[in-house]
Formats: sequence, structure tokens, C-alpha cells
Amino acid sequence: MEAPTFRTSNVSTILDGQDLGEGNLTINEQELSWTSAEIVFKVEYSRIRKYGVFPTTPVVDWQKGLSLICNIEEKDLREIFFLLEDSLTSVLLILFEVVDLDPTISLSTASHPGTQNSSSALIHSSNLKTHVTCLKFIDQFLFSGIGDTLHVFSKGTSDWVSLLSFKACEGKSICFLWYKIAPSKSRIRLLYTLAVQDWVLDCIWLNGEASIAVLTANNSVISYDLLLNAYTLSSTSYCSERCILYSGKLLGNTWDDITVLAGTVFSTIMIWTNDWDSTSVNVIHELEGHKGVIFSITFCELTRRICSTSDDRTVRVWDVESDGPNMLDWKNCSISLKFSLYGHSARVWRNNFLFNGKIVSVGEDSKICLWNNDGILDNQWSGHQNGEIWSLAVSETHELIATGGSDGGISLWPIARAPVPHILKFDSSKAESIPRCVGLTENGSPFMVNSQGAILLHTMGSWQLVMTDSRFSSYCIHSISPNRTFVAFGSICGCILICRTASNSISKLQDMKVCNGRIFSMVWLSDETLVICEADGIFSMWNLSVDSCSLEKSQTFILPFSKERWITSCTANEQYIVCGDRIGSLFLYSKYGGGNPIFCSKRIHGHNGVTDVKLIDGKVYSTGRDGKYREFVIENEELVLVRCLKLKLDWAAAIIETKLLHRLLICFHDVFFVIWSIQERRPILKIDCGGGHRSWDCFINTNDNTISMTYIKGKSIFYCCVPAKNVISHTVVHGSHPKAINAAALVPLAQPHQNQLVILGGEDTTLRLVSVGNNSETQISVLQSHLSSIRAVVCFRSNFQDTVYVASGGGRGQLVLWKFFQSEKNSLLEIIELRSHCVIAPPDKNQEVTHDSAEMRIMDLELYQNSSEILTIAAACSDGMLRLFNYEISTNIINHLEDVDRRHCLLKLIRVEWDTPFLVSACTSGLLVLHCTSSNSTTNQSEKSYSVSNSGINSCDYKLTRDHFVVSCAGDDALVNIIVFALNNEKLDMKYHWKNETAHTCQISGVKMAENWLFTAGLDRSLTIFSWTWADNELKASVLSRYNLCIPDVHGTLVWRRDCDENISVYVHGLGTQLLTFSCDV
Amino acid sequence: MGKSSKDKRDIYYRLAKEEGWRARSAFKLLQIDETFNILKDVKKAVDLCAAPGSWSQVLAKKLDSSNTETKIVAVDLQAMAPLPGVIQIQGDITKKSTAEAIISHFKGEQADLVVCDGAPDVTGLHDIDEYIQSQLLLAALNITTHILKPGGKFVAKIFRGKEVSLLYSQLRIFFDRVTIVKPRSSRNSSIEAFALCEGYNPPAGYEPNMMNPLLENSSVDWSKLDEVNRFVTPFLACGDLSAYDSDRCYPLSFKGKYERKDPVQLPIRPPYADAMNLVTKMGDFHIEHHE
Repeated sequence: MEAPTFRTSNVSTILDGQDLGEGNLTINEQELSWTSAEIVFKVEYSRIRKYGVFPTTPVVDWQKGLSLICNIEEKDLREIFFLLEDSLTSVLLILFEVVDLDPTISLSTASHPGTQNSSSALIHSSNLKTHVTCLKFIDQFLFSGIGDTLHVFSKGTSDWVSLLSFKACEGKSICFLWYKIAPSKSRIRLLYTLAVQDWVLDCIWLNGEASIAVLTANNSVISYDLLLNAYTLSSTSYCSERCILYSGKLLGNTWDDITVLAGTVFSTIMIWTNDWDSTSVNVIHELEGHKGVIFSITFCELTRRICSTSDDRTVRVWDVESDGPNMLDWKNCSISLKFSLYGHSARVWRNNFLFNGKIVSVGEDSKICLWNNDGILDNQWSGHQNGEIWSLAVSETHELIATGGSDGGISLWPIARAPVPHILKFDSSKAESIPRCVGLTENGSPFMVNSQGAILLHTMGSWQLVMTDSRFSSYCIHSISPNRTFVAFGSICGCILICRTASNSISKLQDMKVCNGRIFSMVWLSDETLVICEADGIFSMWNLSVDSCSLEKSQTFILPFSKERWITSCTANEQYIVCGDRIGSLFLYSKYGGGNPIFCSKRIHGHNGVTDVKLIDGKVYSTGRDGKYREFVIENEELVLVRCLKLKLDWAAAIIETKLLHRLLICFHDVFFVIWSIQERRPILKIDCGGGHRSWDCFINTNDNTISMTYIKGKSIFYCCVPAKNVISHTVVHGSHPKAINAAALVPLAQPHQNQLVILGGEDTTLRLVSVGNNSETQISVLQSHLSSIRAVVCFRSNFQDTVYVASGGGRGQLVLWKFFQSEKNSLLEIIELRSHCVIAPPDKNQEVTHDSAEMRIMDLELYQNSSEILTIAAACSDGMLRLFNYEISTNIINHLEDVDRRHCLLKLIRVEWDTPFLVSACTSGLLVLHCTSSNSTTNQSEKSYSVSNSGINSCDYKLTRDHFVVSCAGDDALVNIIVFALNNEKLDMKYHWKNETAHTCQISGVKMAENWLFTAGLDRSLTIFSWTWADNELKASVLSRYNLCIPDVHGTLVWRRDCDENISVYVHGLGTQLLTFSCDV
Repeated sequence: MGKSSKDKRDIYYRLAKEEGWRARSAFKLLQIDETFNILKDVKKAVDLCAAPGSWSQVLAKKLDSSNTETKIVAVDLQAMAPLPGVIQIQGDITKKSTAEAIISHFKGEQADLVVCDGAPDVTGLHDIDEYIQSQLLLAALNITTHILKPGGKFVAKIFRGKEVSLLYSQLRIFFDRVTIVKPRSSRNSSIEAFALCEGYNPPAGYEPNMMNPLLENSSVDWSKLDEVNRFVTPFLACGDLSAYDSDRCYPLSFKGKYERKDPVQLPIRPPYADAMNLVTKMGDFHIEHHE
């Protein structure tokens, strides 16, 4: 290793307590020296016994008798050893910063086991998205472990930004890293890697000993002494009860006082020491109480409590009581179970004590539970898109909890109790009045109208009467203008009262009768325009002028006849008016095109009604009591649905745009009031309000960054106002699929996009469109039409329509057809669902039972065009059928064409674009079947089959040469096959079968051919690149390069090289995604 | 989903209920036996990680119960409903005291076959699951080295993953033949396979030791691992192609009139039974105070 000399002057030195003054410090490859005018010290590295644990003070104990004090002029020069613990992933990272020494004087001697052989220099990882298995706050930074990569984040002005990322290490090792974070230049570097034979559960520094202790999964503790340029195994200690551990915690400062808290699979927590003197048994406590595997154990010095979590879904808190007032003596203490806390609905993976002794726990159920010292659940969130939460960290500085999930996302949660709304009490004299409606003024003060027609404002801690108007005593509706400047009240007899709301007052501005009957609803379009809906679906726009103190009707519109004929929501721009009604329909009106709607989207939000609609920048957004949020564009005077979000909440009530938090939805779910963020795709605030209410209001005040809400429950008015930072959760890294990505397809857009677009289908039933860049992957949209897991997705660009069509298929025999939509006005790119089709297995002919359809899964799909108006879909199905369908573009109908029975579960399907195109199917019996297709797009029953192996074929791909069809396939038996068939006169003769049995050790699930390369990826988490040639009737192929992937459960591979790309991109999907770059020209 | 949807999705689940097996995994052992005759002439057998007991059921059915020498010992961490002709031990096989209890049943005797269909409660983190599975297999192997007769057989579940070739090599040190077999009843999509180890033949001078983990046993020359690593372990799909395809879904009526059957063995009370009753929706919580 190249190690240039480091020199610095003005370094103070203390020798045996005697100050020797300042001198020059030199560090080079061989030695460290300090020279002053009088004295010269030289220390050879081999003589230095121990490498100090550096305190944050600038004193460094290099060796007994010699201390160096670096005279620090710059503030950020200091020395720290960092320990980053991460039990479950096995990756323990120890980081340190060596003053301002350039890291090139690195202590590295050992080679890094993750170093790939030289051939892999051809390929490198450029982006990785998978489980976040480790998190730790160090100083103000957040460190995270994702796969083999360490990422460091720091809080920017508004968001958390990534500062560094570094490929650290693979399993069963400890890496020592040097890093420096500076505004201009952040650097990180691997110093060395310590390979550990066993799974690492925990690791601690042993103070003053310059060593580390490591707890392993086989219930042993190993210590290593760290020398300046080497590390050595120093001691090993076993628990007298050998067993496998899922979790453990090491406590202590020296080897002799190490205490191990060990979490077993047989529901016991064993506490043992490595002191064998007294007896042959070194287990000192056995904590019984859990009923399953122990997944995490932590200890809090402050409260002297142990917290453990388990398979039994509990968080258990144990009190450690010891007579000794100071140091806790684990051998002479009593430990008793204090609480068993139930709040999780699945396994609890991790727990952490906060600095004040509170506990936070996370688990499989994607819940984050915050427990106080009395065991009360202070707060609870649900995150990570219902995926598992694997990692957890807490920061006292930021008052935040960080969680990392199986969706690859990292979220931050405020350490604060859930807001609890309180009752705003009335004076006793007004106690009998029943509140009718409630709202919040410009500065967030609640106001109400009661059953006596009294308008009251809550200010200075009590309700103040503003006015009483008996017209509103029996019936009162109200609407607050967008800027909360005005509030309009409507009566049973057609009277409108408009008031101005100021910080501490409500004053009458306008009072008039607008119609004869009851006012059904009112909506402010702006602070100047109010829409009033009267009987028989008649609604009018009224312009309010404050200066002339007038309210004038401008236009009138009418809803088509229906049972509940009034608007519930309304929005407008210069051209159009869009409104929603009580029965779930949306209507589009031209502002100058008469009173009748020009378009109607009937009952799109279900029969319970539209709750809100907004027209912003030409797009229409709507919410409904069906718990859905929809986005439309107006094209050819029609509302075209481009996006639909199932919120998984009972109902969505309103859409609000805020500067602080972007677009939010106000929703109700069960007993909760929920604020749902469109940007984050998840709830960011939940308040227990006891259920949905007739009258409520919520105000996100961007002046003082508070959120206030009020509602009527029973005869009381509830209210709360909280600082946004205490309740709002944030995102550091956006998550993607929380479960395996089963299928992926490249999107062949006509117009080149900046990045490659990929569509992914997941086990979580969502289809996601992502943009894959060199160092980032951005999610563009999430589509939720599938009822069960998605197994197949295929894209096809039609030259007739100049449109990209997508077919997706999966569980319950569901087939969905989509198309890409590019709006003319907006640059937005969306996918629109065209048709969802359920493929019912044909009933057995011998049986009368017709409902007897199997739980069929569509395993793979092909999509192609036969004529300008018809697309053909071929589906490989788990019931052994190859099914063909036609989709008629003009009528939007899917017709079933025919079935071919293959008897075994089909796994893969490819369509070969030869002179006479044909389909190739592969199944669990290891058979490749070539289905010739004739011109009318149906299969010809005279199939040709070829047996590749006797186990399933998981993946295949092909290349056509002039007269040969080269197919590569692989599967369960871990063999890579390349088979060459001669193509002539529709006869397919096998010419060559090449096999490789050493490249992979487990089943292969992703095979892709590109140019003269073959890429294979499998469950052994390796990617192999072969080069192949077919010449002179011989197939030659050899392994070119190999790479260890970071994503488990690989399901497939995509490969592309776009015109502008120098290298080939290899994109592997499974439990996450990994993008690799293959420099094929090297 | 309907009550019969699992019957529709999983043919072996349905067949197990119809044929009286406690779990569908019974077919895996049956299919391995069909191809490799592993149960032929076996008198004494151990089933490690036996719950819910389907492999013990297969052993009890296939071994000659009239022979007084026949002995079947079943071990599991979980409690298991009794099975006639099967001796049961409850305990963690990675735990020393459990291993000693098993060995004590074979004082002076040796087993002809050891089977282990055990898998950890998978977490979903593949690294851990594969590691724990390999440790479970090594623990099973360690117990096996105490009780298996020379030439005896060992069949154990493995997870084929990143480091599986190391595991094959470790097994090869103790057995003449190691084959990886995948019964048709094991799903194509699963990482599960079985190591079929035949011809128990430990290295010369090997002394079984319960205290040391197998890999630290000084009587084994582990440097040989690198050599054997170069071998390709044969992979065989077993059970013939006419067997039911576990990935395929069959209509309920595929072999006559369908009648839904209840599982043979209802699941034992799971560790989370209490929690399941106390926490049913978001926000539910319960504190149990002790003392």
C-alpha cells in the first residue's frame, strides 16, 4: 500500500507527564516520530503494543510513556474511534477519524474479503435498493447499512441528504473505516476487515484495552486486540450452555467484566459472564417469561432495565436490582420481569432505549411503538408501506427515531406523545346548546354555531359570543374561504351570512337571501368566489366584493337528476368547473358552455360520495368516501383518469395544498383522523378522534408551523394544536416494493427519456414505474389494480398507435392491460389502466360444479400486435395452460382465443420474432416447448418440445442469428444451458446443447442475453457473465466475470444498452433491485 | 379467500389431509425414499426437528413395527402430539443438554438413519435464515456423529443460498456420497432442498464432542474443505414426472368429487396466542404488570 509521509508542525508532546513543548510530528510507512529542537522520538510501529481508544479530547495515548497532543487549530480536527453496532446484519462497522492525517497513512494490511477478483473489475455496482438492516446516529449524522453499502446522511436545510456511500463489507466480518465529513469534501475509506468465523450479533470496545469483544450466534465471545497495523485474536469464551442465539448484548469495559445478555430460541434470556473461576457453569441468570425466540435485547444504564422483544409479539421490561450503589454487579443482583407490553401484531424485531429510559420497538407489522417508563403506549406509527421494519436508531440531538424497512426506505419519527385533542368547555349557562358546526379562523382559533343560532369564537381560553342569529338555530351549514379570510353560513330558508374572520374576531360582512329553499352546500373557489348549491341541483357562482360590500351571482349550473342532487365539492379554472356530488360522480362543466355538464364520470368514487375536488395546473384531483384519491387530466373536454391511490383508509375527506408539506389528504380511518402525504405516500399524522364527524376542521398554519384541528363529538367540541415538528414524520430515503419484486420489464418509450424506465411487479400486488439512473432510482408511480401478487409484466410499443402497452398478470388469474399516457399539455407520464380481466380456469368437463376454478396464477406473459386494432396476449399459467387472448383496442375488450394444456406449471414464456413468429414455453418439468403460431395468431397444436433438464426452468432468453435460434435457459438444477436450434421451413432441429454446471451453486432465476454476452443471476446471489459465440456449428462459451450481488431472492435480470450508453446496464430484481454496470469494451 | 383456497393452490396440502399426514412435508420423505430407498432395512431412526411429526409418521409407517429392534426417536423444540411407536424428546437441538438426552437413548446402540426436516422460524432476512439453517444442520450433524452407525444415512433439509457449497463440503467430510435432492413435492420456487448423505464414514480419529462446535473439532482436517469445494455436488430432482406438480394449481374436482377436510393436526398454541387476542387493531395495547 502506498503510504506517503504525513507531516505537521506545532504538535505538543507530554512524556511521563512532563510537557516537552512543541515539535514536528512525522508519520510515514515505517514509523512515527516527533522532533523538537532538543529531543527526537521515534516509534516503530512494530513496537506499539496497543492502539488507543481515542477520546474526543486531543490527547492520544500512543504508548505508555509517550503522549502526543496535537495542537489543534482547526475545530474539526479530532480523533475518535467509532463503533457502529449492527447485530442482525452481521456487519459491524468501526469507524475512526485520525486527526487530519490523510487516510493514505491507513493502517490497512489485510485485504478486504469483499474484494472481487480482477475480472470483476469489468463490472461494478452503481445502485442498490434493498432492506435497510442497520441504522445508527453518530454525532449529527445518520449511518445506515443497506446490503454491503454504508450510507451517511446529514440534515440539510429541509431534507436529509446523502453525504457518503461506501461499499463496506459482506457478512461475518468487522470493517474498520476511516471517514471525514466536511462541507466541501466528505471521504470514507476502508482501513481493514476482520473476518469472523461466526455470525456477529454484537460488538463493543473494551475501554483502555484497545480491543474489541464480539458476540457470535453460537453463544461465544471473542476478543481481538487491535495493533497499529494488525489485529489478532486474543481470547474466546463460551457460554456453558451452547446454543444458537438470535440476539444478544455485550456489556462491560474489560475482558474480565464482560456480561452477555443472550437471546435464545427456547424463549429464555441467558445472562453469563466469562468468569469460570467459581463453577463450571457460567450462566448467572436465566430470565423466563417470553414464549418464543428472543429477537432483541437492550440494556439501559439510567433505569437499570433490560428490554427484550420476541416471536411472542411482546416487549418485556426487566428490572435489575443490585445493592451496590455505583457499578452494577451482575453476579449479585436480582432481575425480575416488570412489564409485558402488548401492542405489536407480529414479531417484534428490535427495541431501543431512549436517553430518558423510554422504549421504542419495531417489528414485522411495520409498527413503531413508543412506550413510556410506566409501560404506556405513548405513540404508535405505521410505516414502510406495510413492510417489515428491520432497523432502528434514536437521536437525542435531533429528538428523532429513525427506522429502516424492507422497502429500502428510511423514515424519521418525532419522539413525542401522540397529540390528544381536549374539550373546549362551555360556560354553564350555555351548556344546553348543541354545537352544529365548527371551524378554525385565520389564526387557528375555533369558532362554532350552536343550536340557538349563536356564533361563538374561542379566544383567550374561553368561548366568546360573537352574535346570535336565530335563522341558523335549526340548520346551519358553513364554508371557510381558502385563505380563511371569510366564512359563509347558510340557512334552511336560503339566507347567506358572510363574515370576515380576523385574529380575534368574527364580523358580519354580508347578509342576503340567495334562494327560496334550503341551502344544500357552499364551496369557496377563492376568497372572492363562492359557489352556492340550492335545491334540484342548481348551483351558482357568486362574486364577493369586499370594497363594494356586494355579493353578485355570475353563472348558474345544474346537476343531472339524481336522488341526492347537490354538490359536495367544486373547483374551477379559467375554462372549466369540476364538481363532485353526493353519489360519487364527478361532473365537468365548461365555464362558458351553458348550465349542463359536458362530461360526467359517473359514481367514480362509489355511492358514498365525492368529498373534495381540486383543479390545479390543468389537473383534477379528487377524494371520496371510498377511501380513494384520483388524478385526472382534461383531454378533449373529458376527464381522463390517470392515477388512483387506494389509501387503505375508510374515507378521504379533503385535499389541501401546503407550502410546508406539499399536497396532503385529510382522511378518517376507524377512530383516527389521518393526514396522508401524497409525496410520502403514507400517513404522516394520526390523531385519535373517536371516528369520522359531521363537522370538523383542520388548519396547517405555515406561519407558525402548527397543525390545529377541531371537531364535534357528542355535544362537545374537541380541539388540539401542535407544532408540526412534534407530529410530522419525515423521509430520508423513499421506499419501494416492501416485498419481492417478481417481475420487471423495460419500457420502450418512443421519446428517449433521461433515464431508463422500468416497470416492476411485486409480491405486494403493486406495479411500480421507476426511472433508473446511474446512481439513483426514482419511483414515478405506483399502480394498485392487482388483487394478488404480480408475477409477470411485459411492455410492448405499438407502431400503429405509437403507444406503449403494458400487460401484467399474477395471482387469482388476474390479467391487467395498461397503456402509457403522455399528456399534451403536461409533460407528465402516467400509466392508465385499460382493462382488468380475470382468467377463469375452464371447469372440468366431468363435473357439474362450475365455481370450481383453481387458484390460478399467471406466471409469465407476452404481448404483441397482429393487426392495427388487435393486440394478442399470451399467458403462461400455473394450472399448466398456455392461454391466448385478443385485446380489441377500439372496444377495450379482451377475448379468450384458446388454451394449450402443458400439464405442468408453466414458468416462462418467450415470443420469438422470426419470419414466422413462435412462442416458447418452459415449465416445472424442464421441458421447452416451441409453439408455432400461424397468421391468425392462434397456436398450432403441432408443438415441438425439447427436454432441457428434469427440474424447472425459471428463466430463458434468446438470440436469433441468420438461420439459428439460440436459446439460453436455466433453473432449479443450477445449470446454465445454451441450446442452438436450426431454423428452416418451420422445423426446429437441436444442433448444439452447451451446459455449465459450476457457475452457480443454487437455482438460477435470471437469464438474459445481450449482444454476445449471457448474464445469469441466481439465489446464490452471484451474477455471472459469459461470452458466447456460435460459429462453424459449434457453440463456444466461457465465464468472463462474476459478481456477488447484494439482493437476496433474485427473481430476474434486465439488461440494456441505450444508444448513448458506453456500458451495458445489468439490473437484477428480487428483494430489492441492484443496478450494475458492465464495461464490455475493457 | 375461501376455506378451500389453500386446497386449490397447494395439491400436496390437500393430499396430506386426505391421506392423514400431519403436514405436506410427509411427501418429501416419501418421494426421497421412492427414488433412493433410504428406508430399506432401517431399524433405528432419529427424526430431529420433528414437529408437527409428519416425517415421524412416515418412519412409523415404513419401518417394521413388528421388529422389537425398531426404534424411532423424535426431537423438537415444540411440543408434538404423541405418535404410536415414537419416543419423543422436547428441546433445542443446538443445545447441549438436548443432544445429550438424545444420545442417552442410544446407549450402546447405533442408528441406521438420521433425518432432519427442521428449519428455523424464518425471519425474511435471507442471510440470517440461511446461516441459522446451516447451523441447525451442523448441530444435527454433530448429534448424528454420536449415534449413526458407519455406513448409515443422514437426510437433512438445506436452504440453497449464498454459502451452500461450503455446507456440501462439510457434509462430504463425513459421508462417502452427498447428493442434493429436490422432491417434486417441494416447490420449485422455494430455496429448500435436501442433502442426502450416504455411507457415514467419519475421518480417521474423529472423536465426537458435544461441547465444541463441529467446525472447531481438532480431529477434522478442515483444510480439506478447499479441495472438496471444487467438486460439483450432484443435484437431482426426485419423484417421477407423473407425480403431482407442487407449483401447479389443480381444480378441486380433478380427481372426483371434492370434499374439504380439516387438517390432521391442528397447530399447537402459537407463541403469540396471547398477543393475538390483546392486539387486534392499530392503537390497541395492553400492559401486563408482574409482581
